[in-house]
Amino acid sequence: MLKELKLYPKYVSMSLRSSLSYKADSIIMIISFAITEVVSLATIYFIVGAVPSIGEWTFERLAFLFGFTLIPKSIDHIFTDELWILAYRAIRRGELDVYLTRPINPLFQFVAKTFKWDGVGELIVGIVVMAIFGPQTGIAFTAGGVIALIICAVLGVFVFTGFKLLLASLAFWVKYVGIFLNTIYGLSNYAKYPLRYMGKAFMSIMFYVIPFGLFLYYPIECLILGNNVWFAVLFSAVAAVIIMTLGFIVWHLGIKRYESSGN
Amino acid sequence: MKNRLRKYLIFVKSGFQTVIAYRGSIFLWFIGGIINAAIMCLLWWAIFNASPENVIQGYTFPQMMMYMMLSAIIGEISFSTTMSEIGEDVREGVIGMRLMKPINYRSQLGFSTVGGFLARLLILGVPMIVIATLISVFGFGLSDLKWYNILLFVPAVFLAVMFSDTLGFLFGQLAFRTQAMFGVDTIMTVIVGFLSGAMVPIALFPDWAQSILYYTPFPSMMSMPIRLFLGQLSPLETVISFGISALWLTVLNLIGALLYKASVRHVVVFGG
Repeated sequence: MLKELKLYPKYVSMSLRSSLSYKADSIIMIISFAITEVVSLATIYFIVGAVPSIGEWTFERLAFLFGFTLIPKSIDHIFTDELWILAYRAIRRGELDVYLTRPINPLFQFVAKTFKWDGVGELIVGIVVMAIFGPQTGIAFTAGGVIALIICAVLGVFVFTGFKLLLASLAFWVKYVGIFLNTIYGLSNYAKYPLRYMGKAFMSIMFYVIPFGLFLYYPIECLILGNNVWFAVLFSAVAAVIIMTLGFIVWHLGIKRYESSGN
Repeated sequence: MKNRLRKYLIFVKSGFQTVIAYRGSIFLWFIGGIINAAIMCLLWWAIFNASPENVIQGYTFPQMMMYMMLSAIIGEISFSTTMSEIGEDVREGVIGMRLMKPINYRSQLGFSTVGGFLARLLILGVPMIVIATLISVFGFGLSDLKWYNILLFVPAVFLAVMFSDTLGFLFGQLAFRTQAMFGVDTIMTVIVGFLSGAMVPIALFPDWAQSILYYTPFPSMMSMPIRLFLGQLSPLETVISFGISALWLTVLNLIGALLYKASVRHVVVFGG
């Protein structure tokens, strides 16, 4: 574990240096992610603009929620983007062999390989949007509330990563996992809408089955309604622990039965 | 002329067969699109509940529902591999071989998009459209559908496909200059998706934006076919829309051809 921690900065600098050799490309990637999120905010504006508000959700509050959802998502994106490669092709193409021959945890090597600083674009959009719309939400921000939000965001990173690890590891057994992961991961995009008004069934799925609603939507809703936001922290922690554990278990089962297809 | 056409029909066939070969994953992408559309319907349901009116910017709830479904279906049918193919050919150096053959590279890509479109339409598009229509009509009381509008919908979607192929060819040429094609693809898809009305009907845009967009090629890629299907276009508007689409398609293809001439001069191939 200590060895891995010491190695991680080396991996990051390796990854940064390789991406810096294609500067223009990195800038295009950052812009592409930032544009995606700005358009996504405009979409919310036009849709919600059709009515004054949905229940307690005005556009300003939804924009603040939107900014918040970007934070765990972009941090996960920066650190563990390589898991998408695991889901789409690494196993089929036998790309894991090389990691199994070295005396370092193969999962660590695989994930550490890519440090996607493109995600910084999303992170900045998220922070800027939150800063702009935060004061207009009518939320009375207390130190406790802000700390609770930060903890939820951190736990959220683990839920995102855990989900990606869990589903991508299924690629040891099944084809087409990438598309499946894409669809499930895409559901996180809907945690920025007023879930409580979108039907009981969908809300239950987003809270209990694929808990994106728990750590993205729920804490903000608690702050707006004046409910105890620490419940959101508690539930997010439970979700993070369960999903990370499941992710590690499935990965370990998979890597044990991994047979190379040659490369 | 006939001989040349036969030469290119082979690419239609190969585009068709590629889609058939990947039907499993294409089916899954379709399902993903439908799930997204269903969730957008829930969001619109929430909005119609919050609204004092039954009609929002000319759309009733069943119409909005059908809009979201058709948008997802057209999004999957009008998928063109042109851009990713140029990217791959440039990256792997195959582009040199392509340029040497007595076949027009642009036409080859275009015809294989046509083949892919036919396959996607037949194996997934038609069944999905039928199911979505039945659900909207009998489950939610969608009205005003006319058989001739539904028939005209097919050529309208075909134009949308040709637009996505043409834009793919235009922006795909950036592959000659950058490696970040994933980023270029994302930027193009997001902007085109937004301006064409794939996520929000254009009727919800501010008035000034609507009047500008009307003269751009974007509505032809999504908004126009859907509004035609829903019966929101008068016969005159339909004719004008088809005219604008055809005009833009010609202009964009001319620009693409000119740019291509410049791009090819840029090619440096390392083996292939």
